[in-house]
Amino acid sequence: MYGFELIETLSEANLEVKEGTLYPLMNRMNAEGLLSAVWETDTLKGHPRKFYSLTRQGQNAIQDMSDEFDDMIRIYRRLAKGREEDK
Amino acid sequence: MSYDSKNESHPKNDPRLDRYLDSLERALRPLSVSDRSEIITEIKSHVLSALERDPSSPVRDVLSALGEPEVVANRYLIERKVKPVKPPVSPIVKWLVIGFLGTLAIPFLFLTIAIFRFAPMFSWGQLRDNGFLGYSIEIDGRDEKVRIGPSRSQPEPFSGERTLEEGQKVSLNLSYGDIEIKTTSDSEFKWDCVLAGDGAGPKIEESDDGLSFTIAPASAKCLIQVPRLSPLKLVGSAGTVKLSEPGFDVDLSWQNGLVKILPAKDLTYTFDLKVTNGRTDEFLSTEGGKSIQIKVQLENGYIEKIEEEK
Repeated sequence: MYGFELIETLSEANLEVKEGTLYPLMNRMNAEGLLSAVWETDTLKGHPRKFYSLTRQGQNAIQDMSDEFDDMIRIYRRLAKGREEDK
Repeated sequence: MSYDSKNESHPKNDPRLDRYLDSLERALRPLSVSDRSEIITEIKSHVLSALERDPSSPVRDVLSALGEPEVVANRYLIERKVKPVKPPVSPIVKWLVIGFLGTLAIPFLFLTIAIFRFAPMFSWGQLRDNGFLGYSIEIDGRDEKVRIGPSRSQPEPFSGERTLEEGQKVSLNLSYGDIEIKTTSDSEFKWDCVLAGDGAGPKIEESDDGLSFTIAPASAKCLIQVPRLSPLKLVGSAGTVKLSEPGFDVDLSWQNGLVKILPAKDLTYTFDLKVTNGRTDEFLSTEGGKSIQIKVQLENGYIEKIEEEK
């Protein structure tokens, strides 16, 4: 997926991210090894595009964040249930 | 939609895009050439992709959605933990600041001119001994008086004396002042004055009848010494007159001020004191041929009796 495509995908999912914010962020994630980037010039017409993909390290990071998120949801649900019982 | 590479309207050739990318590259100067080149290519790719998706969209709108090049560059620098460059001040902000400061400066300038034109701003007392900043600030340490205002010419103290025949009259005419009058045992009429403000020195006229001494219109601080038995006539507008142990007849006509009288213990006096809009202390008159006549006509003021020399 290249940068412009990613912005459109996020926008369709109602996650508006400014272009001037997204590209520097992708740049850092690439430098940290979470993403790999490849310039495609031959397969597409027109100007070159930089395609990003997740590295294994990036996939692990997403899995960690997803697990953490699930834990948080479980904790909140438990707390909410406790409050209901108190009532 | 595809663009004809020979067509000058192709967004790749848009001067606004070139300027934007130039500014972005300048702002990314802390990074290496290869990093800069990659970022520029990616941003250019983004703009072209956006224009490819919506050809009716002006380049200007796509660039403004990205943000100012310096701001975008700073985000790259922050993500790489490089100290960001200071974004340039917008010309609108710059001119607003200049306009604001200019608006403040004009009344300040006007006020400064007004103060130095219509002064003195503060004035205590009328005389001084020392001047600072070209006599803009003057301090009279003796009388604890300070004057702040436009510079004035340094006062020229003046003093002098004239010999009087016994019985010759002295006539003093003053505008404003702080006058002390004493008696001398000799026959010299003496004056020791300092002028406050721009004013001419004393005008002295002598006649067979006596001597006329005038300081007008300036205010003055004077120590006047009058020979015993020379009748004194004194006229003035405002200020303080002190008669210290007068040994001569006095005819004093004064307005707006304070008349201090210190009678001599070894002399007898006949007082004729009239005060309009004011008050007077009580003075003991002694009727008799040799009594000294003290006649005072005071408007708006106070005649004070002083018991002894302070």
